[in-house]
Amino acid sequence: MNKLFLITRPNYEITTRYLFAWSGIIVDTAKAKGINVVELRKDKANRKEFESRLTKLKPRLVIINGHGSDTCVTGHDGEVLVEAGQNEDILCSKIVYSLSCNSASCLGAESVKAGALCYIGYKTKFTFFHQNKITHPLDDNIAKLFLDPSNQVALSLLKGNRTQDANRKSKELSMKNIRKLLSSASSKESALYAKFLWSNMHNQVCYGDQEVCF
Amino acid sequence: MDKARFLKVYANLPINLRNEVILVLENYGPITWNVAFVEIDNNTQLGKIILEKLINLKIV
Amino acid sequence: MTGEDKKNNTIEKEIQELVKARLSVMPDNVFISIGANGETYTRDELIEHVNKKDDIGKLIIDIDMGFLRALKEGEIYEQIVFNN
Repeated sequence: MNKLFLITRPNYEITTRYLFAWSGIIVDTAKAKGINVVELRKDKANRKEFESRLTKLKPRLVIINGHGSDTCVTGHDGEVLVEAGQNEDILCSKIVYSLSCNSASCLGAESVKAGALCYIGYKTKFTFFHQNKITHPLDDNIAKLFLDPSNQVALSLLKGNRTQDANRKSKELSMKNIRKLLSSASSKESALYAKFLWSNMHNQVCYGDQEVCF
Repeated sequence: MDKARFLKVYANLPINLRNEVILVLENYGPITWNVAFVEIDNNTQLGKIILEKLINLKIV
Repeated sequence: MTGEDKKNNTIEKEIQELVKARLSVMPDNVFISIGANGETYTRDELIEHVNKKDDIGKLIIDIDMGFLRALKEGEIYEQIVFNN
């Protein structure tokens, strides 16, 4: 059976522009591995499309890029895609990675209760520094420090690693970047980036089945 | 004892953090880990003030 | 205001000044994206938020002080050395 995963890729302001560019790496990797991808790009990352594709196509892995809160994750133009107490059951039987602020603190736990296999996300705000390279986000070496570890979750899952290993490898990459930033070879502002990277890493959690694979 | 706590934290600090500001004092301005080390290690009056503030802020 | 309240207020003020001083190393050409609303901020904007102690300001303070306290507890050192 061919593997299938769904990814949302909104792109309507600077933050989502960066997430759009960096999540392109995940899509390219999946295609190179022969994995079927359902991409909800830009304005297709809306609730109607999201719910419809999840219901009809039943992807095992769902990657959500966008904004969020304790109880929801959003798509294009901030439209709510999944909200605790409303439709978290749509994530039933799925492995979910959500690059959105805060969603693991409530939505993550509720999704797992409603049957999601696993939910990897962040308990507080996910932050990243960048140089406003709107036209070429992938050339931004500062954003790379933050978004590479995030991508590592998805890339590890695509390789067939267990959810706990994907979570761990992502955190290891964060720590590798932190070590580099704190070394004497780094610039004086590097410590600032290290702090926020530490916060992202510290608040990244993996709820549900730790042994499941994509 | 407090001095020992400070020295332990300082000794384990990555080099790139030692020039970070850890306190802002009214008459002295920003104080980095390195400045704090010099004062505390030499048991100066300023060092005592710095140490007390660092403990109150739960940085040491 | 009790003595304890005054002391807490002083500590809060000291933390605010400390975080603002630590933010000053942020270069002019670097921005930070802070989730929920998609807003990005410059150094001066962050310092302003810390001054106001609004949601963004409190978040920055929490992250900065959280890191300092993790240093004190040896958490950063442990992660650096034992998860190498």
